[in-house]
Parts: sequence; C-alpha cells; structure tokens
Amino acid sequence: MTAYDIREVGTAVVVQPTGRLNMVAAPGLRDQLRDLVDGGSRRVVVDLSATEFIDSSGLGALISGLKAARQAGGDLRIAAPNTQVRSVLKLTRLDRVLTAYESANTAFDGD
Amino acid sequence: MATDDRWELTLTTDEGTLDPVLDLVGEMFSAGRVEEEVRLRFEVAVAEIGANIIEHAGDGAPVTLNLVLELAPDRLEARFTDDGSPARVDLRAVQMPDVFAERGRGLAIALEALDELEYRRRGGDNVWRLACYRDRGGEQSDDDEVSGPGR
Repeated sequence: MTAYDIREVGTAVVVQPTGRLNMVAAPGLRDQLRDLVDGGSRRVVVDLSATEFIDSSGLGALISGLKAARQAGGDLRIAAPNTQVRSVLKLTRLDRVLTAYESANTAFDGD
Repeated sequence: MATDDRWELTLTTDEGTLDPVLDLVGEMFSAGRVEEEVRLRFEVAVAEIGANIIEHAGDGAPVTLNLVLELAPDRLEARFTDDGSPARVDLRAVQMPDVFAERGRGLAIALEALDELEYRRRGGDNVWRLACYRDRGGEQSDDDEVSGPGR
C-alpha cells in the first residue's frame, strides 16, 4: 500500500497523492485518509497538484475521506487539481461537494 | 505496434494493467493534435472501461485483454476485447450515483464522457467499443458540462 507524503499547514493536515489516482492507488489513499481522521485530524486537505489523473476509484477515496472527516466534525478539502481532475469532478457533479481550492496552504484560511 | 493511426496492445490483466492502457492512450495523443476536451473525455472513459474489465471480467482471475485505439479525423475509438465472463450490465440502466456514493461511478462516467459505448458478446469474448466524436459543432465550451448524447 502506498502511503503519500503528509505535512501540516496551520491546523490542517495535507496529504499529497502523486501520479495516477486509480484502482491501484485509491485503496491506499482511502485507508490513509481514514487513519488520519481516526487519529484525530479534523481538517484534511488532499493536495492534488501532483495528481496527474483521477478516475472513479480515486473519486471514491476522496468521498470516503470527506464523509469520515465530516462525521468526525471536520472537513476534507481538495487543492490544486489539474484540468483532468476538474473535468471529472464536474462530469460527476462532485464539484458540488468537493470544492477545489487554489492551494493546500489556503484551503482552510478563514475557518 | 502502432501504425499512423492505430495502436494496439495485448496483455494478461493484473492490478497494474491500467498503466499500460493509459500509456497507450498517451502514445496516441502524442501522435496527433487531439482537442483537450476530447482527450479528457476519451482518456477517462478508456480508464473506466479498462478498470471494469480488470475488476470484473475474470471474476477475480486474470483475463487476456486486447485494446485497439484508432485516431480518425472525426473521432477517437477504442475497442477492448477480453476472454472473461459475460458482463452482467445493462448500459441503459446506468445512472450517476449520489454524490456521496463511494462506488458505482465507472460506467456512468464512461457513458457521460463518450458519444458511443457498445458492449456485446462475440465468439466467447467480451467486446467493448468506445467512441468520442471530435467535432461537437461548437456546442461545448470550457464552462459547459461534459456530457453524452441526449443528456
């Protein structure tokens, strides 16, 4: 299972998946996000600046993390998606629940 | 393996099969000018149908998968052929699930992204044919939703 780089920005924890976020990588991201929430992280940012491509499996991992964070009283936000990711978010209407922020560093600014 | 407008690979599926599939799509894109909007739709649809075959066609076991890509002036086509079990799917009944669903978007994404998606059983094989038209008559803009025909 791939574990992606994690860093802290203010009160948020930032996870940065790399490459293609598909059926190979998605289960690892899903587990990693749930582990973070279970470990007490309430503000989670998925930094997509190094994610080249996402499919339904990757979207499922993001939704899983979003639900876990919200159930724990927090939130999950995404940052810096490329054109492909934005296109799929729009196509699936997930842009309604996964708002994209320009930068991981600013995803929780003002909250 | 590639000719001017046709790319092909044959492999035995495993978890990593999507990488060579998407690499082949990238090879096709690098060979000719393909509009970004068409490229985005075609690439994700190929990924979703490929993942569906890898996950379901062998009922957990590997299958032999052949993929042919064609770049035509008016469209992009992909044809997947595999020797797995018949796909138990009714494409007419596929709908995009609720936004909070964690699974079940694959075929819905492919249907939304493509202009044509056909599945048939032929000679003991599963055959999926995917097509994206390259000219949608200017109906799309950057702000439009990417959608399939009649949607």
